[in-house]
Amino acid sequence: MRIVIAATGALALALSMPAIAQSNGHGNGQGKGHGNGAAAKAKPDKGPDKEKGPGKDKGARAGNGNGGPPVAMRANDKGNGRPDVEKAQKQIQREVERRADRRDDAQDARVLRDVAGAVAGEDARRVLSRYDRDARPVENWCPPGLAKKNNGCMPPGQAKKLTRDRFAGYFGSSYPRLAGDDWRYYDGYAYRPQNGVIDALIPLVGGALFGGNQWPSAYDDYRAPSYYGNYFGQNADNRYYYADRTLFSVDPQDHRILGIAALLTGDDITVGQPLPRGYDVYNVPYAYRSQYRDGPDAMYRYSDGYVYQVDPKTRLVAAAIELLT
Amino acid sequence: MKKTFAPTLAVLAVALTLCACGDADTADASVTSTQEAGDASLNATVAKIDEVSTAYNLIEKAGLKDPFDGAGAYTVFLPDNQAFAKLPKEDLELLGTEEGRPELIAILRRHIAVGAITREDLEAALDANGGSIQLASVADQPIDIRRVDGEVRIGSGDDAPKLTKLAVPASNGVVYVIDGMIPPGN
Repeated sequence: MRIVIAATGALALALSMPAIAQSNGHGNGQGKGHGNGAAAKAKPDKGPDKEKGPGKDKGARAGNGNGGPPVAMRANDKGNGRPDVEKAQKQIQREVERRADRRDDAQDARVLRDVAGAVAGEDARRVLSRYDRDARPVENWCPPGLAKKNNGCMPPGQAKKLTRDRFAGYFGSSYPRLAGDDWRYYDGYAYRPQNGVIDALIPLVGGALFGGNQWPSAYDDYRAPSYYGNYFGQNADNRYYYADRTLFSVDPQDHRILGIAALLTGDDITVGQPLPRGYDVYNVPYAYRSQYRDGPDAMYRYSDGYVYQVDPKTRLVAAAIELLT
Repeated sequence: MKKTFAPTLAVLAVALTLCACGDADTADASVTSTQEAGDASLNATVAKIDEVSTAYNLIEKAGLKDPFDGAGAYTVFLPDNQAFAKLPKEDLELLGTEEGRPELIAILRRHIAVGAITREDLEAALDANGGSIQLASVADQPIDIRRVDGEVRIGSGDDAPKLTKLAVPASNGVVYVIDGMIPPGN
């Protein structure tokens, strides 16, 4: 059965979490002991397992489908599962499937208005809560301004053009999950209508995910490991979250997005595994070149706040080196 | 419903890549050395390069000044002003609006590699790899770099832009001026 997600960013994300939750923040120090002098500088034991405060264990959930988790999470950590999260995910998925089975119920104008509000940036969970109480479907809902025609939510004659223009090309290049021509844009979000309903809703970097907007409550688990905030952040008092290869600084009090702190590759660089493609050129930042210079026994490459020591013959990653001491 | 981004991004890309602009070429007679770090951040460095003033304004509108002022290291390939001038006026204006910002950021990501890559190391890597290399980017795909007929092309395809002679080191990366937009896909 196709799962129908009725304009809920929360559920769209929640359903993707089983695939996302690869790194749960319990480092095992794979970088330790590898390499030579440079490897001695690696601090894999200071991985996300050392997170303090409410963000503990929650870092770097933005994995597959969301641009990949911060690289060092994958490099140095082994997810060891979080029963509470997994249980919640299963509950949400069951709930969505239950709702999908009720699609023959009558529409409710108030619910539709609320969902429209959710798309515009309000708390989708609040809408869902009411939706749960009323047990109303939101089938045939369209974003405001897109009057429902015979072709779903798209104005006649513009549907194909709109989708192709908005999310092909550079969008697909930067955010693979938005590749394809079935996505629409509305007020900072990408949404995907299907059979008269919206089955996915994603806040866009630069749209809903931008300075001045609220960090989506559905993304609360996307807290970045402290290392990323410490390395890229310009204010230690801020919180740092991660989505779509982007590190955001967020006001810890009111959860307002303060800005983009860093753009990341999200590359999966794992100690003991081959270096991924894209690192043909020496790219260590100027400030660290005297320490990490390519030689016959080791080469060094920078990615997302770390320098990686690599065996030049096998191209296997020998160590992940934090640049903060 | 807000205004949609009517002209295709494909058209946008073609328009940019088709232009062969000599603006930056004439700005500096020789290839700039980037072996030593610059004194200013990427953001401040870009601000001083007249040939990329349009790109600088877009970077600001995209909210990327902080990353370029921060500790992260990037190598940015910025289309020169003439490349952006090839865009339909309404498209360029739209990229500077809230409505067009997601597209703007997606486009800019395609032009940003991680780390500090000097011109000298770039050329050496091309020599060592048969004239074709890839750079990890903050978009999904690496950036293809190719040497074609003595010129360095950025991206794939016959219309891929080329490096101009203008490259400027920053304290946290390197700025390269290119004569068009990197195509969206490799």
